[in-house]
Amino acid sequence: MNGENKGGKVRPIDISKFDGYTLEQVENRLRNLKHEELFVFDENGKIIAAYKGNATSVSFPESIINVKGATVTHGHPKGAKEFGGTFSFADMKNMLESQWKEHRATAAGQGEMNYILRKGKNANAKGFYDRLNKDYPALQANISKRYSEAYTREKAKGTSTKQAEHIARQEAVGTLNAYYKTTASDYGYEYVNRKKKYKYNR
Amino acid sequence: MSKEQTTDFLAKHETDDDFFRMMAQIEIDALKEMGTPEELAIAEEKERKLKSGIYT
Repeated sequence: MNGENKGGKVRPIDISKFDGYTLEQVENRLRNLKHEELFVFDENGKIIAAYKGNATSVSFPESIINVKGATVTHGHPKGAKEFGGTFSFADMKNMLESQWKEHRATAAGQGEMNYILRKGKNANAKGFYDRLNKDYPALQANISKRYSEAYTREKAKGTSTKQAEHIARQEAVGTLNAYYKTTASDYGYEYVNRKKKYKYNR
Repeated sequence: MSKEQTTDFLAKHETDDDFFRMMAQIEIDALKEMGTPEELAIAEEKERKLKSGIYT
């Protein structure tokens, strides 16, 4: 996802038709879409804005970044690879530059439900941002290596090209998932990967 | 100003699309590495699409 000034047309959604919707209801909607949408909840769990995107991205106004204590969720549709995946680097950048308390990516691939990044009381956003930048070249190389190894292995087993690509994409993006999991806590953030249905309790 | 400044790689990722493009390039590289005629043909097609802005 991206802010208005960073490319992409902002397409607001009329939120009156989602009056009273819970986070769970919104995310159930997101999982069934082929395009991305982004919903902003205030500190009291009320929807205050929503935006429509395309299959690979959704834009929102720069002002949304400054909504303090917001919970922001957006969809990562399955697409051709049948896999939504975790936060992109743009998603991480937005969270670390924002005043949000929680950022969620909602996906519907096999074994996918939610990727969640929660800001703790003593979160160090700049530290996390700088760490991501420092680790970026190695991380990108590792994603590439994991992809290549998985693809080669699957092809050697006789797996079809399409399926080999799907498995390789899952494993490669899994590298990023593992990295976020181990690194977020060093900077006062909690990273959660929900793979199965769960009770939202909110 | 320090002599060794970290390049702001994250700033280059303005949208999810930037990530998809990165993954598409990784896929193309993997196909080329396999080097069979079938894989090279797929890589070439993907490269052509990537240049046209299609990367999913």
